[in-house]
Amino acid sequence: MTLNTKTHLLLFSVFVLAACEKVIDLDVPVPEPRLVIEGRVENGQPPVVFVTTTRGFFEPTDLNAFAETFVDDAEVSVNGIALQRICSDEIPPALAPLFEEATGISAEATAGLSICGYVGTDPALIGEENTTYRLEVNARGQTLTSAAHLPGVLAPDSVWFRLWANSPRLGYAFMKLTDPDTTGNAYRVFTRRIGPNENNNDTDPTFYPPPGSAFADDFFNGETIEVFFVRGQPPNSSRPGDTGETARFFEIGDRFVFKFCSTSYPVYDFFRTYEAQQGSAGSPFAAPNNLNTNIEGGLGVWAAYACTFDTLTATP
Amino acid sequence: MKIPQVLILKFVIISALCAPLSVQGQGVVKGIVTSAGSGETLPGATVTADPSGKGTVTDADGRYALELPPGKYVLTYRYVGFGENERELRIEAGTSRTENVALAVATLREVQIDAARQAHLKGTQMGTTDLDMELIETLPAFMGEVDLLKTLQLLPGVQAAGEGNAGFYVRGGGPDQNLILFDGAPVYNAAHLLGFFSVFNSDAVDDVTLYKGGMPANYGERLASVIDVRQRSGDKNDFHGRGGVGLISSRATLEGPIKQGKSSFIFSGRRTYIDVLTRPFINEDAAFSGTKYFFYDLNGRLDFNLGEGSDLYISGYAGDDAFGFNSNQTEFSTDVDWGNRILTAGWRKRVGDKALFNLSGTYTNYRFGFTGGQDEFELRVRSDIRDYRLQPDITFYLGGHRINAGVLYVYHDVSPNNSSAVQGETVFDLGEQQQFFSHEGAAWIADEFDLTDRLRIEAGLRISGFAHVGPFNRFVRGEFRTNSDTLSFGRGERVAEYFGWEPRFQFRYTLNERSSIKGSFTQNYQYIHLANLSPLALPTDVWLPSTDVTAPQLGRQYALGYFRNLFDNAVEVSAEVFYKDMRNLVEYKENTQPQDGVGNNEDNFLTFGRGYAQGIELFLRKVKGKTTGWIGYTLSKSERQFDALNNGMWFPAPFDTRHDLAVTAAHAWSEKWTFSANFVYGTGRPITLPESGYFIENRLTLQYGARNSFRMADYHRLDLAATYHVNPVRTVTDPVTGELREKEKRVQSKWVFSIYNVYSRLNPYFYYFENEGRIEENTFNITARQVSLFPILPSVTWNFSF
Repeated sequence: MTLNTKTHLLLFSVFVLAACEKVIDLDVPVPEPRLVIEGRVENGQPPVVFVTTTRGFFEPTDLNAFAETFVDDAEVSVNGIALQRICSDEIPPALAPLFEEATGISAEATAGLSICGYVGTDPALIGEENTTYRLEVNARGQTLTSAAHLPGVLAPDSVWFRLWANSPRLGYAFMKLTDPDTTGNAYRVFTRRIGPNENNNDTDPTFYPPPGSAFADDFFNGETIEVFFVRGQPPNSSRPGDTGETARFFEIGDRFVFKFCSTSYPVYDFFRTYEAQQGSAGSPFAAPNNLNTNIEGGLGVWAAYACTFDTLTATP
Repeated sequence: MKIPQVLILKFVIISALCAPLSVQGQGVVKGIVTSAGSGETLPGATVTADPSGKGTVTDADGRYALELPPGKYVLTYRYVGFGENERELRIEAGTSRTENVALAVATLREVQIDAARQAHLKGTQMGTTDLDMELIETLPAFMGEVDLLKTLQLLPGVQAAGEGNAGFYVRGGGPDQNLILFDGAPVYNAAHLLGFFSVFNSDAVDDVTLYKGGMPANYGERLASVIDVRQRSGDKNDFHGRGGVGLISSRATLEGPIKQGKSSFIFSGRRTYIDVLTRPFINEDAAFSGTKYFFYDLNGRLDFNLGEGSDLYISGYAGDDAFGFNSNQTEFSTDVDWGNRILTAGWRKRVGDKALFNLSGTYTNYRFGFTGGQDEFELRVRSDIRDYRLQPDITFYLGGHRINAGVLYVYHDVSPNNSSAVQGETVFDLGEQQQFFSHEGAAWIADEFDLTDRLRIEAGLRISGFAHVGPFNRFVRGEFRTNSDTLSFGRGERVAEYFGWEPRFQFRYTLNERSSIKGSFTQNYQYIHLANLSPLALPTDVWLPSTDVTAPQLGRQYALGYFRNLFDNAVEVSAEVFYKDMRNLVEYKENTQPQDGVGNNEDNFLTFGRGYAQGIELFLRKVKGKTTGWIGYTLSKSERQFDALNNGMWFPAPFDTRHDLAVTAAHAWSEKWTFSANFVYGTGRPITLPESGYFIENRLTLQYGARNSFRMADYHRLDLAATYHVNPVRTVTDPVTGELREKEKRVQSKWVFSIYNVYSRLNPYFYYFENEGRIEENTFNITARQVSLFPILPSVTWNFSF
């Protein structure tokens, strides 16, 4: 067989296997904006709540347009205690990490904008185990409510780093967990690299949830399980370590914090559908479903977490 | 004056009872119509007796019987792809004579559709189409692979789901509402490669009949249609072979006698080889290195003439699709495979002069498997369905009545989405494996007769029943997505029972020699359902039987049509209107994920609703002359309503196509060249799009609008084909006389050149949305993208026979 024939065969094969793709314009009507809640309370931390609105899906999104979706005149209360409005251009340094983790955006990026959130500054609102936190939001003539139970803290039996079988330097975080013998236990995992390693990898400004971060004991109630997690990283990140073969991996030498949180089942149910939607990314093979919110009268999630932290160094 | 309904009813009953009396003193002509070449019987051949205008159609075994007043007649026998045969005979009162007829195969350039042109007017069947493989082979085909299911989708009322979809849709019904029979055995997934090819190797198929309107009482089990595919019998007299070599697959068939004139065999095989051809040329570092895909089919059939009017056949099919991805470039590995296994046996026995007894037994297995791994984690998902069927039935002639009666028993064994998962030494408890056992049965009787010279009736009653039996555990969901209680049923214990009446009625009223009106009513129950998580029809879709929570689907269809032949039967036209009402339709609840059925009953995640479909189908078909073909147009609407979906509002069915047009034409240009073309157009498929979005944890979240409230771009495509028939004879010198003479070549062949999607229309397969960049970097951007599968695609296939 001549090289030319081989080339044609290969070209033909690629021709058959490859699909054609093009960017299209879709004329989709924009519905009336709806209110969205993104709020959380953790053990030992004050509650932080953001109130935003939906936007037309295909409308342009720059930082200003993003900032305009934040509602800065809402009345927000938790367990009947009003939360204080704090905007990004006036945020106290002590609260910056909370803002960053809640929004997933660094304080530097939002410094020039007025992105407002609501923080529970009353000591009575500092998150405590086995406590239910009731949220009420009044904005634009609407009342949104929710309740989230902050469960007791449950620490993993152990957490460790292990190399991926085919790699001498990349690996995952493994966790051994003994689940209580009661149904409906739900969990969430976050990771954050905290120091540059010998390869000068980036550190993470905040915690990021890895894919599959939300799970419940549907299939392992009362059992001890061993599971692994990849590294959480920012969405659409273009940092060198977040792309290519090192994407989603921890690398030998990385120092990172493994944050393990217990939460309530409705919060898990929200993030279960959230991660399914993120994972399918508009795939035609997935059913087009909206998220299972725990907000009465609106969209989004009001979450309570009981968290523990393990600091690890990735070693072979 | 108003006539009481009871009097009308009495008139109909008395007329029916009197019909045999009115033909007393007549004579009977009966016989078997066979192929002169192979000796195969020809079901569906038409027999007309001029000048009486009476006619009939041969049954599944090629037999016919016609009662005629005493006199002299010319009987004309016709069958698709065969030349006509005429017999002159005299009928004596009270006598019966046998006329067995062997029809010679017509060449490709002859008229293809003779048989249908009389049945078109004189049969009671409506919404029914017979297609012969000889006709199908003349039409343009994707990658040169002749495909009968693709050809069926060019008929009005039958809508393709589009490229990359395994299913097709008949008169607003779902893909699970089509019963596809292969030698009487159901085929649960008739698609290879996401629907680009069907499992039916064209060399192994004799013909196919589609019932989409009035369904005879001997058919049931599905709401929308029956596609009855019959496998070829081998030649009982001579050995033959045929096959084809194409760009992506090849096929071969061998047939011949086992015992001369008494028994025969036929075996066929087909396999794609794009994986084999490309493997040596793909660099190990390439992104798709480690990817494999192929499918294959194996067909076989044995026929035995046992003498004394008795025949036996055994046929089988095995086929698989296999996809795999296992590359050293990534930690992921995947293997996906699915396929069918079918075994059938049938025994036919003529009983006396006017009855034919059939007994058939079939076994069907469809299975789907997925294995995915990453590092030490491995997930396996298996779905499996097995059917065991037994069906005795008898057809007999009583006076002017053609009566068919029979029973059907099916044992279903269904295992949907059974999963297992391991992580190193940890074995996850995914609950018990799900398995559903059930018995399905039906009994029917149907009578077809002439009530008057103009009015022909086919009335039938089918009774069906279904029992879901143990062993079975019904999990009752608790507060969370876990089970709070379990109801256990022992082996054979009844979990649920259903029973349904399925009346059938069809009539034909002849207006004149060239036109008739037909009407039909069909009521069906469907006890097994296909649940789709994806908007697309995929091999991952799960078949589920009726259970204590899943009631059988119920469908009622009303149809009325006008049929006319023009230009000495060269052109057939018809217009049919239909309305279909459907209950207990099945969908997954919103936000059900594939893994939710693990450790639970899969049907706990279903929700139930109703639907309707209505439309008009216009059909013009030219069946004589050098140019043949058809134009089919359908205007239709199909909607669904589920309390638990779309806020309880009605929404378009995923396959609702407002306008559907197909034009096909084949032209015999010369002895050597035949040209053909297809053009198809369909309104864009309904889809659900995100109308708005919001950010959670700095990631864009989609908020979808009303279900199926948008439509993709319209679908249209033109295909062309040219067939070159290699000269079938060669010139030789006679060794005795020394003269030149023509001798038929031992191997006959033809080249088929085809172009799929001539003007390279980028029809949408699906839309998806991509967001790039980051909000904080002011680079965030959303784009909508359309994926299309095939632009212009030329191909060439060499077909041969000997």
